[in-house]
Amino acid sequence: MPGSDDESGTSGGGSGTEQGDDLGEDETGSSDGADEGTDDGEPSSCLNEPSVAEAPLRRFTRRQYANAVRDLMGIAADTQGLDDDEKAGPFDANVTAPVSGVTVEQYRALAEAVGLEAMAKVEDLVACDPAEATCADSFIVDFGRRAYRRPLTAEQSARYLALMDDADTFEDGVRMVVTAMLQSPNFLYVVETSLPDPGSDNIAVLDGYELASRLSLFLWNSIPDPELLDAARDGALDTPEGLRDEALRLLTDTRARDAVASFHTQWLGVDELEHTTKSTELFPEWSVSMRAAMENEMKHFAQAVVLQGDGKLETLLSADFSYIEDPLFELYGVDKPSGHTVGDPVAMDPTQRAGLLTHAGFLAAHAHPDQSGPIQRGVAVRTNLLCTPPPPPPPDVDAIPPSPDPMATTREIFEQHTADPACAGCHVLIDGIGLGFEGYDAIGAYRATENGPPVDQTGAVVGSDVDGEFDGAVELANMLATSEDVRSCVARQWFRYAFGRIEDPQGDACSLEVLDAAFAESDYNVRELMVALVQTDAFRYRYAN
Amino acid sequence: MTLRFNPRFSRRRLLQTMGVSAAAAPFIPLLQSAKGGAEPAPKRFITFFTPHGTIKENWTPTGSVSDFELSPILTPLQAVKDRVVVVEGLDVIVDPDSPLGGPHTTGPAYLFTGSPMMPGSEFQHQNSGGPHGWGSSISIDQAVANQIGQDTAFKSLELGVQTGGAHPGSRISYAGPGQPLAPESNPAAVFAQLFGEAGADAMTKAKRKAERLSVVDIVKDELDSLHGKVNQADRLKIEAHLTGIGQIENWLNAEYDCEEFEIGEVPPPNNTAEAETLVKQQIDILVESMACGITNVGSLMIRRGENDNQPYPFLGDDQLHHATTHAANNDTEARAWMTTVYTWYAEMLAYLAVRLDGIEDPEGGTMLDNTIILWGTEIAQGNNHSWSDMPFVMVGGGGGTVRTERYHQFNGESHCQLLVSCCNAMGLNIDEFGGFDDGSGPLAGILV
Repeated sequence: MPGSDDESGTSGGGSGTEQGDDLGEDETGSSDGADEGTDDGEPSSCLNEPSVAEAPLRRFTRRQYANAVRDLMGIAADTQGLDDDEKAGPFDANVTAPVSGVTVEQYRALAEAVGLEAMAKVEDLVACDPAEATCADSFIVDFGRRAYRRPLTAEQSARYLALMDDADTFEDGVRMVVTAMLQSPNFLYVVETSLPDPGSDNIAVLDGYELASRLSLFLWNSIPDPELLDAARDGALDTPEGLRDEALRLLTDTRARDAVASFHTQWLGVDELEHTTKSTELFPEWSVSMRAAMENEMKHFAQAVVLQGDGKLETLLSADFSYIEDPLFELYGVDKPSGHTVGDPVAMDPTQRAGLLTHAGFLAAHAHPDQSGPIQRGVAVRTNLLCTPPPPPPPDVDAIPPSPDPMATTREIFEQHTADPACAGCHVLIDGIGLGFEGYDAIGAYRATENGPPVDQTGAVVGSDVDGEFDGAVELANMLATSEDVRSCVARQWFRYAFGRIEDPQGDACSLEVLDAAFAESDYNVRELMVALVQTDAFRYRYAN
Repeated sequence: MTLRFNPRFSRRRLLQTMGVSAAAAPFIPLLQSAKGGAEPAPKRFITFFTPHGTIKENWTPTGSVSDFELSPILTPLQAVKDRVVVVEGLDVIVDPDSPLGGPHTTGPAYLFTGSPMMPGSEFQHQNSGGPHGWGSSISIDQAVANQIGQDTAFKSLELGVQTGGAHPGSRISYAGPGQPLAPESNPAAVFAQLFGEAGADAMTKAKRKAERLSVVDIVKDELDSLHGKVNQADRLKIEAHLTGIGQIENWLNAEYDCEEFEIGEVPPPNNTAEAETLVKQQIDILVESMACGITNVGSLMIRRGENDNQPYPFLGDDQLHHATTHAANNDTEARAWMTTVYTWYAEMLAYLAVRLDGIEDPEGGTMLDNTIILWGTEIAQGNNHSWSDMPFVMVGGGGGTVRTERYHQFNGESHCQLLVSCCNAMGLNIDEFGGFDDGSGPLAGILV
């Protein structure tokens, strides 16, 4: 790997073949010891050959479909009618279940609707003069390359040209081509078919176009732009450095906001707020606009920190500022600064709020309709931040949340878990964290008292590298913000988001090792983590069988 | 909504159209059998799902096998009681060695597949059970559709109302192992495809059809060419997409010609206050489709198994269903409210049954006489999450195969036996259905 020591913070992620030797030296100086398997004598997972686990065929998420249509034609496709996406971990990804007939029909109906819209704006979509004989062909070649994310084959072009030839008018022909291409598997799926070299153990190098799609889907949640496709054509993506350069370019584009927003809202379950109901009796202020404002807060905050700010995980988890809009000023008890406009940072009460885990959206998404949710919040932190999901309770347990009791605090009601020795083993892991969030009600508003007495917000983290007692979610957030376990987990979550699959502890070991090292080297800068990710084996290769 | 449909007329028109259509090859057998004259009416099969069990004491009929009174929850079925079969006392007998998730999550798959979940890490319930994948086997509606759905424009229709996302708790139909079938939750979308273009002139129709078939050809060819290039494990995805495209092709080639009907204004599919309107619209579409011969098999999923925490404001209260089901046995207020919800489910079932009963089959009997609707839910009761003593109801004569107006009290037999009985009624000569089946065959007393 060329010159890793003078390539700022992004050098940790490099090609797998040379990584193993570099890592030890690069990381020895890192104070945190994230680099297991290097200076302490454990062997590196990175061998001489690249290694990667099998990646399932991905079908566009609804959001990717909409973004792709937007970037292809400037048309807002109504994807509400498409079936919901599956998830890989907490992230939207259609990788497991095959498509349903109903969804294929939804694709047809939507493609026809978009085709009609395209017909109405042909002059925006076609660069040439339709009167020219070659115009249909050049439209197909250009549009097809962007929709399929690689040049059409001669056979594919000929079929689309035949469609246009059969049409009554040029505009009608454009409609037909758009309608057909949007139903093509080459549009709807992330097609990767590069073959391994003979005798190379099923590991195939992705070609430039496949890498371009991976880049844009990861960093834009959309299709490549022509510049990225040109880079693919010119072989610029065939080296880790080339991938890094394009990643850096993509991250400066406004489209990168979508990826950062989607990651954080899905990671922390805020995308599920849409399906969350709250008791109208207890929370009359709960509304669609409040829900949307919560989602927007997390999006704005994450974008601002990761893309414009210092990029630090620590900032994400402990910031005393946020980006809020009405009606959240009231919910947070923060006065709206005079002259405030949406998008301005707002200082939060540092005794009540610290970063993502104290966002009302996270707290509301992990709560019951009528009471807080110590179990949900504890499980969410363990699962999504520590990557140590607690084991499920034994099958004979009645896992029904107790009803709220006006005479008791939530803590008192839930303490049964840790009192019963049969439950305590796991619930000490969950409740110790979850009860620390008792300062926030079912919609994430701060509360100093519950049913009379002051809220007891104390808790304890157990089974992590930052074990210890704390008083309230602000202290908890600050503990987690510097936890090695959290850093390692966040790296894995980004891996899952980037690939739409869960990492394989064996097949992806080298990529994860490289990623951990790069994250450490950048002092846990999420932006640098994203750039490092695109240079891993897992990104550059595929397992073919 | 006014019903202006004449099934005799339309069935004949369907056949005539097909007789002159060169593209109607798959439908020739139906045409020939109709010419034979003495063929029985087509059999039809519908699975009907509602969430979170029932309130047992208000569900259980009183009386004996053939002389019984419907319970408060089942009272809406009084109008078709002579075609009702109440099946009490069956258990979903789960293989304890199979991956066990949350009961609301896995119950919808267990219900109509009679089979365990696939191993996997995709779904992990927050409160209970280990991780698992999708259901591991074909559901009864699809098995039946493979038998009686081959000659129709649609082998089956999967419809739903507010069923939730891509999750086992939100799916009741499976084409095969790990192949859940999403229901269409927007009546406007189904209506647009099935009936929405009926008014267009012949030239427009012909042009649209030709255009769409040319797209189908391209998509099929591209899928075919990808099939050999993707990894082994992904070929099933390509095949499923080909199946979906094949369904569109069948639809385009069927050239059915149904009487127009009004669906009315379709509310936003996620508007909980409009759930009843949406359910009735989906039922209307299913009934009209069956009457016109577009399909013989349907599944209707009302809301979701995994946490139906949605209100039923049209029933006069904003309580959240799932939360309320956890109320204790002695919480009479909550149980009264849930009884209201479960009675509404029966009302929706009755709406479907009565609609089917209002249409004569030209070959004899009403459509309800020739149909089996199988009503099930993912757990027995919301506050015990048990699979013992599941509340099942069948409605319809199954084409003379079902002993109707019966109240059966079983004692822990597997619900797979009921699935076997339904399959037998629909002409599938099997004596086991699903991975949980212990080979006991059909239930005694259900079929003639």
